[in-house]
Amino acid sequence: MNENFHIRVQNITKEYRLYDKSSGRMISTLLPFFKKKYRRFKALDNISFNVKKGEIVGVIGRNGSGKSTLMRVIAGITTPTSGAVEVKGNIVPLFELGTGFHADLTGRENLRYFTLMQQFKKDKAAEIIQHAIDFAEIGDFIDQPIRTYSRGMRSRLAFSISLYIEADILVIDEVLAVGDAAFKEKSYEKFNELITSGKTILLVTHSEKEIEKVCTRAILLHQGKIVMDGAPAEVVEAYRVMSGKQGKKGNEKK
Amino acid sequence: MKIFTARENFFHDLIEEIRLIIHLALRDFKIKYSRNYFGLAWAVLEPLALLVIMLVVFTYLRHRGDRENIPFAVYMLSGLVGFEFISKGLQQATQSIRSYSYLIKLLHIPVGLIPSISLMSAFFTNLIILGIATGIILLHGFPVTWYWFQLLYFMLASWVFLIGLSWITSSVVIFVRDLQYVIGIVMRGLFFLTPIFWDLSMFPEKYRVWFKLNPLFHIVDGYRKTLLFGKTFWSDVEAMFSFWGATFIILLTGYYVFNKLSPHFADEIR
Repeated sequence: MNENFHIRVQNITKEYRLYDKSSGRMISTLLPFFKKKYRRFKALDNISFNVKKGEIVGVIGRNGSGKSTLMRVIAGITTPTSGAVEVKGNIVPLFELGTGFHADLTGRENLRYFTLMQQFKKDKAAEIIQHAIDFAEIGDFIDQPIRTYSRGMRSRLAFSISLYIEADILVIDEVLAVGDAAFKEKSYEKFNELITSGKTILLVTHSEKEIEKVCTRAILLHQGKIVMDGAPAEVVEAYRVMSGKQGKKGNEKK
Repeated sequence: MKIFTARENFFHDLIEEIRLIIHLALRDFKIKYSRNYFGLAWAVLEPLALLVIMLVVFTYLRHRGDRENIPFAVYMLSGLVGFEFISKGLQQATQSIRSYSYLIKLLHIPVGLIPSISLMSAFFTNLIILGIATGIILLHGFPVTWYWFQLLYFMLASWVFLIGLSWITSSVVIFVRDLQYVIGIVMRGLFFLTPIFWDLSMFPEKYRVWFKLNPLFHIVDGYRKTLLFGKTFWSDVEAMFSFWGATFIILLTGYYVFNKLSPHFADEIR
């Protein structure tokens, strides 16, 4: 086996049990002899792949294909039903917009708590925060509560801080989607900088252009399975064909 | 996900974690009070307002305010302090997993410590209330004694009790939201069933022991005995056993329930 991997995903299956009520899940967890009725939904079906150091892997697929679930499993936010994920180094997940930010605190305060939670020393944290603020370019808003931010500003800030906290693996789930072109361009450059220093990036996106432009490899998911894993251009082509064919039938998920 | 994972450097990590919990509790504080005009004052005003209402009701309407020659304000406040921490701490910690869900992965601490952030925040508030309470007690001419060191014991006891209980409530409330209302009702009931504004001596001897089955009895009565009467915390053995017995069971149950349910948190809260 190649021991140079950063992430190893082995036969991951994530099955959601859909109960009529949340309490159903609790009861069947705490009292195994009390079976509650549920429907099964396989979000991920026997997924395996390795990610090597220095790769930017784009994950593409239609809504509900399991992209986000896969990212959540890799980041350790949710547990897989079976299979194992092995991650070398620390991982920083970046989901949605400004996850982990509190609306009533200012941008600067939020960054401060963010670094605190990552347990950085004080002067190191100050340095990281300054870098992030410079990169985000949101001006005087940095000392305003996050609730006054636009969606773009919020995601810029969240994205910027995650670039500078020196995580080995970055998981970016459609965070760049709301950024403007100039900011995207700048981020792509930063990506290249990161991977040359031995970091790994997982990028979930709906933008085919983005995959072709920045990724070194792409994975196409469909209905919880890996359909294709290879060079970005080929995977994007396959995705185009697939969505073209199925586009009219609508989403048959669940 | 285990509540406590094995660690290489237990004490170093623990100190780091406590430091982090304190920081996050301060953040909690800031968020909670920064948008109100009176800010932090509200945390203190609420129990004081309650005290004033009780004072009016009991002193003037029923003429039964003072007990054993102790002013009612002092009597009630000394017990209320202990009750407030349990009541507020539990109610806030119950919501902790939900309100910190977005932080769970960012935090480099075990999930099991998250309820403690809310407990810490409630504890800070309680220290302020305690400061005011002791001020009022001192103004009434009660002396500071060595017994006051026992407050540390009662604080520690409250913490242990709350950690176990909040493991149960904070994890179950994820699945059964109604629990938060139940807790509200139970705490209100306990407010009357615990000797906060009444004294155990009001009841006939044979009924008294029943009140001691309430684990909060030990805490509330203990704060009072410490602050006012100069009695040791083991002076009421029945209440003490009832408290630690209940705490032990709650801790074990809490550990089991939280451990079982925590892997499912992420699937229930998005």
